[in-house]
Amino acid sequence: MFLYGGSAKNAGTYWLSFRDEEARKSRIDIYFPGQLHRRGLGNLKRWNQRILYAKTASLKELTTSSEEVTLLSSLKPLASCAVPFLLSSGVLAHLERLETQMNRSQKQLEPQTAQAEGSTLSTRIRKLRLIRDKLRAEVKQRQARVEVSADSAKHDQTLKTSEREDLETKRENMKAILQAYRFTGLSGKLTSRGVCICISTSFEGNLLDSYFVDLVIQKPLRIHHHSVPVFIPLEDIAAKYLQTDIQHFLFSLCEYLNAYAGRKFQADRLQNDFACFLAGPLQKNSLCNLLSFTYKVEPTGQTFPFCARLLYKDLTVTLPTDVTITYQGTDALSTSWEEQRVSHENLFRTKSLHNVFTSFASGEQLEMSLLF
Amino acid sequence: MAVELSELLDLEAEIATLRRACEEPTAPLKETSGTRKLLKNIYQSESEGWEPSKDLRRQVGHLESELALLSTLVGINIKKYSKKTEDIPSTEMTQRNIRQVLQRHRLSGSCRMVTFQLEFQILEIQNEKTLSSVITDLNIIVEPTEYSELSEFVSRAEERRDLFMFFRSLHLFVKWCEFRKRTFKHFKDKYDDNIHMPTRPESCYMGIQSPSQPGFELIIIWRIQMDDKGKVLPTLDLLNKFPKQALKLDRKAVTASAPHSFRTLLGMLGIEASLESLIHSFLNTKE
Repeated sequence: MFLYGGSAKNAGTYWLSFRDEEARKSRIDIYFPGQLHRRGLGNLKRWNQRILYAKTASLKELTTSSEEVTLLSSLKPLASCAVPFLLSSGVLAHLERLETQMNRSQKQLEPQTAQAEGSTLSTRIRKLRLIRDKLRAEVKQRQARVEVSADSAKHDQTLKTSEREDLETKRENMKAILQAYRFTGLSGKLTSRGVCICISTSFEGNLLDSYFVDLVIQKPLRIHHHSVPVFIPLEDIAAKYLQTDIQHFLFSLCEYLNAYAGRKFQADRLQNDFACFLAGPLQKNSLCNLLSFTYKVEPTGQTFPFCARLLYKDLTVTLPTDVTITYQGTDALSTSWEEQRVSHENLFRTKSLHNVFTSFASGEQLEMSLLF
Repeated sequence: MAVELSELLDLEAEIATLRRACEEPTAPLKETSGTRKLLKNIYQSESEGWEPSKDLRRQVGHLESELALLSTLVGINIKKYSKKTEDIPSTEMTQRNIRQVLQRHRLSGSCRMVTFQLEFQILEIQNEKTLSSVITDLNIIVEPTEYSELSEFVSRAEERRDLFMFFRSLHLFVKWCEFRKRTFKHFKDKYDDNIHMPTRPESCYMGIQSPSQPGFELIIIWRIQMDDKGKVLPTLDLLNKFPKQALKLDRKAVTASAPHSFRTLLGMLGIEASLESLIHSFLNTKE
C-alpha cells in the first residue's frame, strides 16, 4: 500500500496511514526516516514507525492544517488507505498532543483497562504472532503476483500515454469526418432529444444556404424546430416519409431545398449581373418557381422586345418545365423575330438562366467584333 | 511490560502492513487495484494525465455515437477525410480587399456496397460584404465499376461539380440496386429451376425459361437510370427469346406487343406484382 519515491528530496516525508478502527477513533500509522536515513531510503521495513490514535474529528482538524490538503481531502473514502503527505513542522507534535489527549480521556472513561491489559498482553502477543506468521506466508505466496501486477501497472501507464495519443488522434479524425459530412449535403449534431440535421444546398458548384431540421427521436419521430422556408412543402414530405424512411425524408427534403436554392440563385444572378438586359425588376414568387421578366438581347438596344414567363412545375428541378416567350416589339412579327423567339424558348428550357444571358452578352460581343 | 508492549505494537504494525500487502493482490486483474488507484491519484494531481483521458474517452464516445447516427441517417459512411488550405495572394485582390482561399478536400467512404473516393477544390472568395464558395474541381472514383449507369452518372456529376447531387443520387441508386437484387432473389428462390440470372449483384437481368416448352424464354431487363438532374428511375423491359417457328405462328403479334403491355402492367401493379403475374402466367402455359 505504501508507495514511496525514495529520493533525497523526499527525506523529510512522513507516510501516514489512517484507519478508522472504531467509529470515533482513528489509527494513524506514521512512517518516518529515522536513523536509517543515512543508509538510504526506499525499503519500508527500515522505516521507523509510530502508531497514534486520535479521534476522527481531531484528525480532520489535522488534515486541514497540513499542507497537502487536496490529497487528504479524499481521506473519507480511503479510510483504510495510506496517504502520503509532507508533514508541516509541528504536525507530528500536534498529533502526539492529540494522542495524549485521547489517552487521557480514555483512561478517565475506563480506568480498569490498563490493569486488564497487563494480564492479557502475553496471550494477545501469542495470538498476534500466529496471525503474523500466517500473513507472512500469504504475502510471500502472493509476492510474485504483486510484482507482476506492479509491472503491468507500469506497463499500463506507458500504454495509457500512447492510448491517450491514439484517442486524441481518433477524436480529431472523427471531428473532421463529422465536418466532412456537410459535403454530402447532410450533416448533423446530436442533441439531448435527438439530432439536428443540417441540409446544405448548392447550384452548379456554388455552395449556397444551409437549413436545419431538429428531430426529436421518439416514436413517432417529430420535427421540433426547423429553418425550412414556409413555402417548401415540408409537411407533405414529412407525412410521406418521415415515419417510414427517414433517409428518404431527408434526401427528398434536400432535393426540394437544393432546387429552390438553385432557382433563387439563377434569379438573383440574372437580377444582379444582367440588370441592363432587363426592363425593370424580375418578377418572381417566393418559391422562385414562377419567373417573369421583359428583356432584350443587346444591352445597347432601346426596346425590350421579349417577355419571358418561366414555370417550374416540378419543385425539385432547376430548369423550367414551361417556357413562354412572347414578342412585344412594335414591328410586325417578322420571321427573324419568330426564329429568335423559338430559339430563346429552347435556350431557357435547357440552360440555366444566367448562362442564357451570358451567351446573349457574348453573342453581342461577337457581333461587335464582326462590325469593327 | 514495556518490552511486551513494544512487541505487541510491533506485531500490530507488522500485521497491519501484511494485511495491506495481502489486500493488494486480491484484485490484481481488475482495473482498480490498490496500487493503480494510488498511482492514479498521484498522477491525477501531479500531471493531470488521467482525468483528461477519462474526459477524452467520453468525448470520443460521444463523437462515435454522433458519427454512427449520422451515417445511419444519411446512409453514407465517410471513412477518411483530409483538407488542405492555401491562400492565393494577389496584389490586385489585396487592394480591393478581397481574400481568396483555395481548399483541397479528399474524402473516401462507402454507401453500402459502393465505395467512393472524392477529390475536390473549393475556392473561397471573401470581400467586405460576402463570402462565396465555389467547387472548382471535382473528381470522383466509384467502385465497383460494373455499375455502368453509375459510372456514366459520375462523369456528369463531375462536369456539373454537383457534390450534393452525387451523394443524393448515389444513395437512391444504391437503394434501387438493393431492391432489384432482393426482388430477383425472391423470384429465384420461388421458381428456382425456371429462373436463371448472373449471381453478380450488379446484374440487371433475369431470364425465365418455360418448363414445358424448351427454347421459350422471357428476359426481364431492369435498369436503374440516372438522369442529368440526378433523378434515379428504374426502367424495366421485357424481351423474348422464342424460336422463329413459334414467332411465325404468332398471328396476333402478341410477342411484338408484349413489351408495351408489360410496361402498362408495371404502371398498374408495380414491379413485384407485375413480375409475379408475368412469371406465373408464363410458367403455367401448357400449350
